[in-house]
Amino acid sequence: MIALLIEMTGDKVPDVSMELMELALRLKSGKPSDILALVHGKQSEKGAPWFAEESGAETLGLMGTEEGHSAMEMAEAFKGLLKTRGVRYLLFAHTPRSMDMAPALAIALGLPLVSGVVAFDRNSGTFYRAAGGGKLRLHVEAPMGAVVTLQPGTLPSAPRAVTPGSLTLKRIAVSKGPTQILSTHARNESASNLSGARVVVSVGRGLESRENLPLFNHFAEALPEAAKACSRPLVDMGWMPYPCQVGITGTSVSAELYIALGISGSTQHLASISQKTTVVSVNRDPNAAIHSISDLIIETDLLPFMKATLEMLSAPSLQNKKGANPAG
Amino acid sequence: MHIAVLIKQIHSLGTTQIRPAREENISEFRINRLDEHALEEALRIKESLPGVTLTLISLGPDRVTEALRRGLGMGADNAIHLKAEMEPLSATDTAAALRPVLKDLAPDLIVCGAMSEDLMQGMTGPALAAMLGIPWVSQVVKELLIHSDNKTLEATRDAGAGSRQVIRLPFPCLVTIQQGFNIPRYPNISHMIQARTRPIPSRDAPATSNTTPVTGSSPPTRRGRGLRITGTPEEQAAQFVAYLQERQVLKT
Repeated sequence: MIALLIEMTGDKVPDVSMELMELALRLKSGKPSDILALVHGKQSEKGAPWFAEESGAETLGLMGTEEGHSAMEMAEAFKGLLKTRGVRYLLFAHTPRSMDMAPALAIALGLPLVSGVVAFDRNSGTFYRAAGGGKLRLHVEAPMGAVVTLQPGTLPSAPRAVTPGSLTLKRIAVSKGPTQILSTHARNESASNLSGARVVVSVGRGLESRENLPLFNHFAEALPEAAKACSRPLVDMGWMPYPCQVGITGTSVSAELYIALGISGSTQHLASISQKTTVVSVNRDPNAAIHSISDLIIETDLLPFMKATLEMLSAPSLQNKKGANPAG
Repeated sequence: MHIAVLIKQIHSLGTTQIRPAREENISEFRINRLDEHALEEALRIKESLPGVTLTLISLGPDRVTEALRRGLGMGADNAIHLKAEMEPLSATDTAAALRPVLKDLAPDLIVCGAMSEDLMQGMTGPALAAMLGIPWVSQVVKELLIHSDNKTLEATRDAGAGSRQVIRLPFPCLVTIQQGFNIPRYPNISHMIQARTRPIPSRDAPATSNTTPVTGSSPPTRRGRGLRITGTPEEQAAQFVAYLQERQVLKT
């Protein structure tokens, strides 16, 4: 049996859930109703009916898992259910939450773990997973079953089902383990304009030092209507605020154009850039992973390139021409 | 209190090795950055509390002793080399290889980086804790708070989607550390001199099965045209500006 473990994001079923359904259908050609979907988290009683209808999978909406449980406790609660149903493939989205749950359930179910999957070949049964900081894909086989985490945005969504799947809403008991969640709070920082921007200019470690931030700011401000963003290390080092962070633990980007400056392109970062977004990458490493999703690759040192571009933009011929053309 | 710190040695370019290498240039390898942050946090605890012993563990071929020596130079007390032909490629396989030595050592606290820079699974720590049957907390973004009874700790973690959680858990437990709240120190010269000549105890990693055999590798699939622009920064800037004009980000 193939099962999907879908966690609600806020009160929504995440987009990746239909990508997981697609992977399940590729893993086992058969009817969508042969696939079991467990929908849990906040308002799963609303999300589960939607997923049953959309996917055609046998859907269990699990309530009682909303807040305050550690991954260890959740894994313990799901274990019995998955064992009874003889689950051999258990599919998750590759998110911070599943980084805790997936290994715990793999061990509990005695299944191997295949993480960060970006593609699957149904003919050979090969999973492709990201490695080498995103510069390489490993071909992995797991014919006897596995717990699999799928990078969001790498597979198309499954087609809408012709027949809705069966739906059961069920309360699940989660027993208290040794860990205690004392508090959960959102970071108290103003929202960025990242998610709605047409152009995003994003910077990474290639900036080299904090002293070069003004140069980046000038560069981004020279491009009309562009929103500023960055990769995780810059937020961790305190150079840029958290709302600017692009990645699985930050914001997703669906802009028309994403300009990546000195960003290597970890899988976590790449997974958050929409398939529809055109990418320009500036990085001196000819093999940087970011280049693999790029339309225009500028292989160079970041600082001289930014300076040269700024000089060009301040030239009189361009000075009075700057400005976006909203008519497109 | 006994703290075990797990460190992975990675290639400086972040490349992943998929079969044992015949020859390797040690200077091309370094400690995974997040593991250095984990070691720094363990050293901070050691310096702030009496009676803390710190043991480093690294799994891999002989070259990983270099990473262990650097960790000893930073201030760890002991190091154990867990010998394997190469680093496993699956988090559960890595955890299975580490489990026996940690079962024997039975430390109060195990710390490691939140993920390795090459594989970025973020799952080895949780997998090891699940195998040992001890609680864990992942993606810790602040200094750990050890309670005065030395029986529990409090950790602040990045819970995803911009939220933070404060978690209390009892010893023995495992903690995975994110970067951003400490700066790993440089090795101390006198420690480093001692570490150079000090024998590093080793034991063979258990023969665990390779549960997800790697049958090959390939570059990532291309998305976008991948048009490469070369030349001087000025020439590249000119082409970049033309591209933006073409896409009407800048007016022509």
